[in-house]
Amino acid sequence: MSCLIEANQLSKVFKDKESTVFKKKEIIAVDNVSLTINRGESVGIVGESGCGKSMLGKMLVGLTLPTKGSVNYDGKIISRLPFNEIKKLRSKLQPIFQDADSTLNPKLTVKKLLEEPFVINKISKGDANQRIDELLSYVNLGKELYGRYPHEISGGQRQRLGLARALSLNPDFIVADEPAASLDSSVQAQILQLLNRMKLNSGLGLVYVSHNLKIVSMMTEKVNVMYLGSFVETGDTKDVFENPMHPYTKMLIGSVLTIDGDKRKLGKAKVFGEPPDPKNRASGCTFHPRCDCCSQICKEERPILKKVGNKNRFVACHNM
Amino acid sequence: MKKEKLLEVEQLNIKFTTSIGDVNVSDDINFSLNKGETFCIVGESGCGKSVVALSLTRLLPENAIIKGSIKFEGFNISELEEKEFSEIRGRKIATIFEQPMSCINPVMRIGDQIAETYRANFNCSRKEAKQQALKKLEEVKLPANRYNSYPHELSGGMQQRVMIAIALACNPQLLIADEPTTSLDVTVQYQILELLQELKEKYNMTILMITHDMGVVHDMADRIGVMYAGNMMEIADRDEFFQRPLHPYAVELLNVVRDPCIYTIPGTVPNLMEWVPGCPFEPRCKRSTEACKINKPKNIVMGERIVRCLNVVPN
Repeated sequence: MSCLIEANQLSKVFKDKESTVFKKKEIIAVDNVSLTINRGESVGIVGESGCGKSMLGKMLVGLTLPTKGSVNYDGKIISRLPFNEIKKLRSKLQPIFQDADSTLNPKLTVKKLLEEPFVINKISKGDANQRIDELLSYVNLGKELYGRYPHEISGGQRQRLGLARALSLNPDFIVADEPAASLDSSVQAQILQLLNRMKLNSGLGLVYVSHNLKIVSMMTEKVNVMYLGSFVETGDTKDVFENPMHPYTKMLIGSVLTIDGDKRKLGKAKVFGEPPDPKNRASGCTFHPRCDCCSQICKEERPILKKVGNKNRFVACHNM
Repeated sequence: MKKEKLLEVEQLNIKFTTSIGDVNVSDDINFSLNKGETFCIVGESGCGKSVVALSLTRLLPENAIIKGSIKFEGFNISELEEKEFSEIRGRKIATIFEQPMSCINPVMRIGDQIAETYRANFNCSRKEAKQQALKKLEEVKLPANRYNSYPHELSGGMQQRVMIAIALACNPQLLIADEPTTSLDVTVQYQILELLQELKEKYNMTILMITHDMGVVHDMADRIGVMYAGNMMEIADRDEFFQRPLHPYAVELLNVVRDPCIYTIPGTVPNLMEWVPGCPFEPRCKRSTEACKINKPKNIVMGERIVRCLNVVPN
């Protein structure tokens, strides 16, 4: 497997609104994250809201530039390219967002929306039309939608339209940021299956950003658990879900309510605390205020990702 | 042992009149709640589950036409005058919503808002109200120093706790929870559901929970009602339902939730503005027959179970 995207020690730091010349305040959204995605591989990023998972996704496709670190694609470092060079790469690195509405111009019809990527990239109309027909049947949308506007089609259809647009220029790499979160379960399944098929057919790399652990466990081969801007546990999805090692991963997996089995889960797992505020980071291990096996060293020293066992497993915790 | 019924809803029909025609959001819905149980209404968005819940406390907009009878403790509350009804709303039946900010006042300290409920309902002094409010804060596991916080200073989960505290101020017999954890993180959802369960046992409350999340249903419900396009498709005990759903929609829904990478339900939820003579699920149903297109299925009662289908899934 060849390496498609390589992110080295990515950080994203924002200036706090309350920051002054005398007293600098920073919000660290993503903190020193490294990640590689191979061709034909799907990688999940999970975590609570505000942990920086979407920001990381945006940096991977070059929508936001990192404060520190670099993203390598095809031998080029995206973050160092001039703007017009990045623009050329955009067709190969595509994002899909939770809210397809925000990517669709409300004043364009479905047909125009589908043509847009081809017009921008100066592809002839004949080729474009043929590709559009292919795409529509691929995402299961009928031609009767051509004349409609985004608000006239259902949420599931909009999401599929967003998918078709993302796929239209044969991308190498897709970051799907909660692509199915706003949809009903029956429609959600259609989108997930489409994404899976897409990955198998075209061998592209997929990063699946979500807070829905159940879906991530089914959609991805590798998973990264993120807490307050950094990875606390990474490894093969099956491995991580069957045998979570970091206390946070345990808490996260314990709090997912599923319909498997007869027993109720409520009251069995130990779940404490609220998603943290990036403005007030805890010292040492950022997770220690919510951790039930916290010791003195956790409060003082920040743990780093260490390899555990023989497999591809890394955990950042002092009390392994 | 015969279970005592707290709420009985019979032949509930709700219609909205709009400028572009009528929308039928509740079609002959019957269900009842036993005392002390958690009943979950589950369904996809737009199936009418929230409307049914809001109609119980008359919180629907003016263009809603509600027909049918709602009995609370054997007493028909659907015919009450508005003034008499306000004795029930909030005191006997309380509601919590998905968005706490839609119900709490953004410019008032949260402690005062909880105390206000006591002042309004029990005619007590400010001092007593504050004491009661502090007690409630503790019950919903918020620290006492949050009494003077404003809602925007709290996280989503904490706001939800404040709303629960306000709703439970009058010790209601029935708590309607309309998607109480949908906008929360899984870890916070878990804690809020634990809290609800704990308070339910403490006060022997009955909970009517509206949700689209089968995982939540699996953990919270004693009995389940599945809604689709304004119809109550199936009502069953939790264990029976998860072991053997009877309505084709329920079967497919459970499959999709269990394994979204293998199963799908083709098509989309129907438009409620378009009246169909037959079963609303017919276009998406694998077991549909000609009869399903023509006849509206009737409720089939099997002991405690009610299924609205012409071709119930066999054993």
